Amino acid sequence: MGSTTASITMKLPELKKRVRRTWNILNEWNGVVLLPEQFDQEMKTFGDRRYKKTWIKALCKFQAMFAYAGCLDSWMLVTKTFAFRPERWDYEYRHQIFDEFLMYPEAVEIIKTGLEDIFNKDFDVQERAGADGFFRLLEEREGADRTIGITTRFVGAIPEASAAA
Amino acid sequence: MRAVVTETNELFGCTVGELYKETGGKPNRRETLPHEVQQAYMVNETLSAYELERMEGSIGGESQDEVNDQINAVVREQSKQTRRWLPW
Repeated sequence: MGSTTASITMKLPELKKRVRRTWNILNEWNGVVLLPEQFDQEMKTFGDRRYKKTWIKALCKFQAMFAYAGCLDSWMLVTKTFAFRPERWDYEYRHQIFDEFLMYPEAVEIIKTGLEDIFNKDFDVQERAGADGFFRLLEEREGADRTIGITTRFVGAIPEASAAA
Repeated sequence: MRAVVTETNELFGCTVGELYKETGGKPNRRETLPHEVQQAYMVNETLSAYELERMEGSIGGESQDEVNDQINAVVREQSKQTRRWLPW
């Protein structure tokens, strides 16, 4: 993982609040009346609620659902949603959120489309710059045990080839 | 993101995913949606932006979440207004 880490670690009460809020919004979209026990029921599926990791799991899952359901334009994912910056509250969970998003079968295709859009010659240059955070995210994933990443090395410089020479 | 789902729901009565599916558009590519749908989004987004600008001084709260809730409420209200002008 890269050296950029969030300086603030979210405390459990705040984490719980975030999970609940995201869950509320997701269900507000479904137009259903929410009952507290429904939330408790769903939370149980993530594991033991006494542990922080359970809440982190739920948060990342819900945030990924949020990103997926709210994606009208795929380029928004790379310039806004997944263009994490250290000042964002969800920064420390960026990799897990992205991992959860990648669980959707169409995820890679959506990201690919978003990248095609931003590299279109007619795409706004300032908007394109917004994707820097997304590229940093991918860069951090390189070499880590993640399912998607990019190489930031010069294309011609293949390490194996250099070593063999 | 949240505002997009809100306006989609108010303007078309469905989710973003359903809209692409029902209209046969290529998911997550707005330009593949029917022309009327694209126009409706464009008009609503312009009006919502205008309304948010007009209310800039009165939108506030103790936290970013409160501000976001208010923005979402403005978008919802504007979308309801816009819907009245749409032919569906």
